[in-house]
Amino acid sequence: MIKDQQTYTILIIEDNPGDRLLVETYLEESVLVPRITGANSYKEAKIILSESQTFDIVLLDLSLPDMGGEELIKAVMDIAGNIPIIVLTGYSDVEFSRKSVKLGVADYLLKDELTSSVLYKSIIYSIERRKVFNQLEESEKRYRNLFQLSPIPNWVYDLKTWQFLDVNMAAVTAYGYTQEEFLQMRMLDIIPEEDQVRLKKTMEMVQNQEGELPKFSGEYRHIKKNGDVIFVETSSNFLLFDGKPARMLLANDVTFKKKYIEAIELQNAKLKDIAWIQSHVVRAPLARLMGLVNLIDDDDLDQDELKTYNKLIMDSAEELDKIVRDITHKTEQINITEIK
Amino acid sequence: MKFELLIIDDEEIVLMLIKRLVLKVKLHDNPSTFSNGVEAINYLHASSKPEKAFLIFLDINMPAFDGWEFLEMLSSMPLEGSINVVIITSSVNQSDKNKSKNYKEVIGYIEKPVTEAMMKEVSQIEKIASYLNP
Repeated sequence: MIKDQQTYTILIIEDNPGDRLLVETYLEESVLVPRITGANSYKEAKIILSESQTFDIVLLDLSLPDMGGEELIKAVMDIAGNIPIIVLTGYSDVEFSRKSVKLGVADYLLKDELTSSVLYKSIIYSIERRKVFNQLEESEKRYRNLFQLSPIPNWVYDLKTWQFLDVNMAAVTAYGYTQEEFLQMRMLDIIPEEDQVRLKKTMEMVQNQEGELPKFSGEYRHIKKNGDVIFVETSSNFLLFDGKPARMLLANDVTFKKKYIEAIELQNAKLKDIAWIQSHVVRAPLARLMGLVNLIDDDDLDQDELKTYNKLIMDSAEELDKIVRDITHKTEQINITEIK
Repeated sequence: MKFELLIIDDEEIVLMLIKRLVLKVKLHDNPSTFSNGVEAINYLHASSKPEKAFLIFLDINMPAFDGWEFLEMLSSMPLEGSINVVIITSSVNQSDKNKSKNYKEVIGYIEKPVTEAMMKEVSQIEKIASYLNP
């Protein structure tokens, strides 16, 4: 048999020296470099594991002088952390073996049936299985964090009842409801009453399409606990949450952006106004003024006529002045930087 | 051929200025002035005859009934005789100038202030020249 070249660090918790020797022999047959540490009791194992968590696998005998059975499995699992545990026992008890696997042990082997290859296979499978499990756990945790730590309010709601199933911190902070309050609420509870009829239709459409509608977005109004109404751009995705059809909803507050755009549009309208005034209102007295000045250049004007025209020139100039002031006033009416 | 000259502008001073220039360059010896378009429409309605010719100096920006409305009404009325319009406006918007081309009656477009030289140019417009030197 070709030996596995990899180094395995193995903890054997076994009080019977004969059994331990047997296990060690089996290990040496299949593994080139087994680094074996032995513990004679739960107490000893606890000390070893508290000092080092670098074992690849723990082999556990179920009848130790200071503890045994289910209690021992639970206790060792507690201190072993992520290290897979293989139970070795002299008693064939199918019911108990099933139970121990349920508790989280990687495998359950009978000492009487133990061979080098059975042990080796169990160790390799247990280690690989644990790796995959750890990766899954890690990625689940990562997604959990993405949801919880997202700066944008996120909810998961039940597609049948519209009840909130999950909510992140950003939603709690932004909307003023506690997580517990949110989980008692339904999707429509954050929609202003006057928008609910319209939204119900959309939501029924989303509901009926289930997974057929992977992504859906739109612009809506939401209402906070304190009654403030905000504009949001929402986006939602279909997912199964604890086996139930649900949607994850994300709502980006665009109230400020919207106000800003409104202010810009208003300012644009005013500027257009000003451009129109410029062409039609400002130019009227100006053109008149120029016409009058042209007239004065004429030689055949008597003193009285000159006086009249001078007055008309002054009137036009004053009118022009007033218009310029009006324009300035109009321009100052809107100040975008003041929007809060 | 004799023609009538109508000057429409809401500003008295402008009416006076344009009238003076018309007389000075001898475009017409007796122009009528109107301070709004409605009066002018009424006048045309009452005095138009098949053998008559009218030249209208029209301001655009006027309160209530502006030059565009005047032109719309003019083209929708069954008036007799020949009617031509020269727009005299303080607007310097290209869009106004372009818009004026949509009306077949408009044969000239002047941006205020009107000068003696401009008024002489108006007399050179083919239609008007034919009235002046038949």
